[in-house]
Amino acid sequence: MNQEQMHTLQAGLFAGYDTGGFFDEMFDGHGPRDHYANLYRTLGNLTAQEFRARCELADLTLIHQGITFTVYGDTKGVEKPFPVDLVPRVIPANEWAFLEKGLAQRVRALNLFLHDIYHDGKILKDDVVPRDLIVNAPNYRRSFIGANVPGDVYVHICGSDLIRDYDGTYRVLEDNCRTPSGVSYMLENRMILMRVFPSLFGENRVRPIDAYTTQLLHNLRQLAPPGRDDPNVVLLTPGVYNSAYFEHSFLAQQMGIELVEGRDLFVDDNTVFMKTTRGPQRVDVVYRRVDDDFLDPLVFRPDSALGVPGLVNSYRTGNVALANGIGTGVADDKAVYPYVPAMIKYYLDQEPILEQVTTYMGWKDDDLEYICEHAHEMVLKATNESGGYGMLIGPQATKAEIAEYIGTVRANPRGYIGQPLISLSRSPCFFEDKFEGRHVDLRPYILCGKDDVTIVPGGLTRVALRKGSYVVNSSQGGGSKDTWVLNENQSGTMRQTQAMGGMVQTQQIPAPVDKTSPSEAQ
Amino acid sequence: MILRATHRTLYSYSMPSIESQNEVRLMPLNDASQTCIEFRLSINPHCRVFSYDEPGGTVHYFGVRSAHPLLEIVAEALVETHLENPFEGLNLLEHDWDFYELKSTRQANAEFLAESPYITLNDEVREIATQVRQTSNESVADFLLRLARWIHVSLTYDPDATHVHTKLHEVLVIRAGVCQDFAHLMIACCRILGIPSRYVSGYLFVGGADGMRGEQATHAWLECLLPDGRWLAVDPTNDLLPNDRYVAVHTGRDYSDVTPTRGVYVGTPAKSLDVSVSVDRLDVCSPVI
Amino acid sequence: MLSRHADAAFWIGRYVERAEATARMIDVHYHFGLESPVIGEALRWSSILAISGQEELYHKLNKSEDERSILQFFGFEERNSSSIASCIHLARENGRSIRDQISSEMWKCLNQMYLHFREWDVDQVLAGSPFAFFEKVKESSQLFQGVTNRTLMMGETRDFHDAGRFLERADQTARILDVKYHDLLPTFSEGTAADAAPRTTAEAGSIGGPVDVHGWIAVLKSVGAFEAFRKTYRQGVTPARVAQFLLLNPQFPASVRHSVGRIDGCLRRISGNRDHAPINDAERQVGRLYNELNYMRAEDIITGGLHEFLEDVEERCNQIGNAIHKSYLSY
Repeated sequence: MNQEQMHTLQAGLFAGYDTGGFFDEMFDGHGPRDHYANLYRTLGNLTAQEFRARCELADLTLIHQGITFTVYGDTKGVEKPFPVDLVPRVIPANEWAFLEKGLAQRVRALNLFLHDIYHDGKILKDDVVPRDLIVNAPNYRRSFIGANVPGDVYVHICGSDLIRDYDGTYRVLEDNCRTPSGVSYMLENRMILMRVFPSLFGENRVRPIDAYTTQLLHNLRQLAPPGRDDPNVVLLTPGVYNSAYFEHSFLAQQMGIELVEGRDLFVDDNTVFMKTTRGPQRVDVVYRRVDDDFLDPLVFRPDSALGVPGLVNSYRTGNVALANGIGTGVADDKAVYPYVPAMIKYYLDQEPILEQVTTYMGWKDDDLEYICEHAHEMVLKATNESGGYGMLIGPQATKAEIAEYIGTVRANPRGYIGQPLISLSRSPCFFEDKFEGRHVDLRPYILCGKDDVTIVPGGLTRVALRKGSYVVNSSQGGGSKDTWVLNENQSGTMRQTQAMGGMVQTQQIPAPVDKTSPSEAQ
Repeated sequence: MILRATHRTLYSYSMPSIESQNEVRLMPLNDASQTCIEFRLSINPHCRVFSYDEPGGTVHYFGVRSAHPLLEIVAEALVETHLENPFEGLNLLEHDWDFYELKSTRQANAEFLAESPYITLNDEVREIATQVRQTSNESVADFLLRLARWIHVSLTYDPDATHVHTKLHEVLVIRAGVCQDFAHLMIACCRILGIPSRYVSGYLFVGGADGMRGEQATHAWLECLLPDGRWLAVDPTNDLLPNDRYVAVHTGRDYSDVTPTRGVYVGTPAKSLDVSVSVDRLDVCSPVI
Repeated sequence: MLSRHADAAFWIGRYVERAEATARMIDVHYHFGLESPVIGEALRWSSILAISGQEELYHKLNKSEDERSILQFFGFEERNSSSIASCIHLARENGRSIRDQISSEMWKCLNQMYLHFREWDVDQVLAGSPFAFFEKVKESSQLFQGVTNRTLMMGETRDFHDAGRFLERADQTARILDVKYHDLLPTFSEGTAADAAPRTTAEAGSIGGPVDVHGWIAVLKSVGAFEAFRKTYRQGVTPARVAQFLLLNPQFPASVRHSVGRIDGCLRRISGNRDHAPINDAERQVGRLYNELNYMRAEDIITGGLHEFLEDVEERCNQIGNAIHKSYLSY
């Protein structure tokens, strides 16, 4: 990389910006990437003071709207505002088209896999995936073998985490097939950016994301038992003390459905009802944000006060639908992750479109030795933990920490995987008076309907705000960014639209450059 | 034999309970060694009963929402049992352990080789299993018979020593228990040596056979996969191979998979829980064994 | 509307009202006692205990009925779910559980109330002026009710909240009257109940002594009725007039009749029932009590025995609470 050339190209607020040798979302070796050109110009021309003023406005909006999350382990459930960085992350149309195809392929395979392992288990008999990993997985629900779910769809909402390595290749880091969270931040980030930087949306053709809740509600309604023409859909939350309660109430409000707790529901004659002041009202679809373990004390943990006794059996008979289904956790098990490419080949007879991260499996002897020898340069993960817990980042750990961790791996090799440390791409973030690069990932939200897969263009870009950190989880000092997916003919229309000004008119301008591609304007 | 088993559970509450939801695993299995001719489940207060099948057998479930001072569950089953001589065709001499080394064996039965909620596979289990194996000849069946004998002799049968929630590692300390604990220990010893083993709940017709344990309530034993593909039932509590006096009801990895009655309700703790099981023979009386 | 939300709104109404009623009651009797050395301390406190219906718990926690113990018990005792601190805490917890159903001003108000009173303890109350403490409780409750009136949408949440508030108010007014009546005129109710002669009642009674008048004024003050009473009855304070005012006056906001009328309105709006006939047990119970109060004369009450009447009102408030629960909240 030619540092001198970089400096000459980076002006204004970007002056002195250092990509640090990482793949930078905004800059290549010569200057801003094409799809960031407008943003670079506009943001670079602001003064630090002007940018700070926008940040303050954003903070104020966040506080007023109470956009917060709860941190566990900290002093007893403290609510913190979720930090938003105002420099959007931009994804060009062609990259998104590729991601969209790859993610849809992946979630299709995962659903086929779940159906298979809860029915004939062909993939296990054919030894494509080791059977013991599945039947002994903590989230495999033995009592659900043979149960049928609406449309054979188990995962209706999937949040897959994507990262980009040194050369910018997108790789799937993990799938979240249970109760993926964060989508409210995706929607709120857009709301905040539109409020704080309305002009940016006039200069760039950003695809809208506000159809998410409409699509989700549509899909949920389709799950209703036959004959329920105007189904009653509810969102089941563990309650106000849950870390994602804000998201639960936000989504319920956006979809106009009731936000219920376990004690609001009861099961009578194998049918689910909610207690209202006008008497029991039948519930047809439960968008549940309560984990399997706590969903129904009759079937799962008997000490759970969050669940609804009898709910699971009502679901089993199809009197009520659940999204996501029961027992989906086995599909996002870190031990199952290495086998997803094989699943795609097995069920779809296709080559996997998206790459994933090379994974060494503790249960394979060679891999185990490799993990133990190279722990200092790898990321080691416990297969049954999530949210960045139970993880060792080799290069950042002390010798003693590594030795201790290897000890636990050797004691229970089935419980661990190792992956090379992927450097993660960086994206400019604003600090005090200048932009600095920080590592980011991307979590798109994939909706699996009865007939098709829809992915709202964008997702949650999580950013590790601590300098040098790779951990993007909100529980561990992460923030987020608005994520833009551009319409196809972005660069062609740009100069014209600036001259025209105004967002409404911009969108009416027909695509003048590439007549062959379908217009995405909507 | 044609056997009629009646399983009756009665919960009494000091204050009436509401919103009760229950699952029961009480219906006898249909397999090569027995046929369930008839099964009837009666609930008082009366309510609709639903059912589903899981890998270990059939589950019935029901809910009672209105206030009820007691809940009675009566399961009546008519079963024909066929297994007169469990020793028939059993290899008690030849070496046949290699089967358990096969990857295909281990994968196809992975859930019956691993630890499960009640069963830990620790060093103590390994030591017991290894010691007993050293005393046996080359055949798996011989090992199983010796293991059953060892457990029968080494554990004290004492209904007061343990309860339904007692885990195997606790049993290893107290060295006493009931059929559930005997079965768990033997399953652990088999699994640690690679013999796929599963837990069986069921009924036992004692009629005339003195000194047998397991008549008063649900009995428990285990089944081990033999190299010839047959699941051999073993009853370490009585040091016997179950024959046509045994009625299998449900199978699973351990007790947690076969719990006969399980329920949740809103109310005060049950004042009393009364379980009784009776098994009668309906065809001609067989001679005493 | 979800029953859980309605339940929380109902209990916010009750708890805030109860905190205020407790503060009023102790405040007034406190000062009544200070000004009236004739009545011994034990009598003063025992009537408060009787009103609250908490004698058993109190004696379990305390050896004697002294000032400090009483203030601690009614002001701050966590084990007394009706203490001012408990009421405020429970109102806030209910508010938290329906934060998205009430206005943010209401939540802020509940939260600030909670944070404020968490700082107080009995020593502080005794060291300074207890009056300031009770005044603050009353003001906080009234601020909350004002904010609620101003910001909460007219609708089910509000109707459940108001039903809770007025049910608590009717109950508290009846209790205060009942116990003070007993304290001040122990022979009065028994005599009238026995001979049942209407003429012996209304203006009768051996009132007129300074202590008695003082006692009845305390009753009126404790429910904030003294000035309103003065404007209504120029002739002077008599037990029968006090009873009539607090039970039957249609205009006074803390009278039992007014309170029950408000509950009736809330329930009718909730169900949308415009017919005279009730559609559930809650409506039946409230409507029946309301109509009895509407058509009742003070003489009728005195004839039948005031104490018996008040006990009946308290019991029926209790039944109304249960009926609302059964009809709407936990079926």
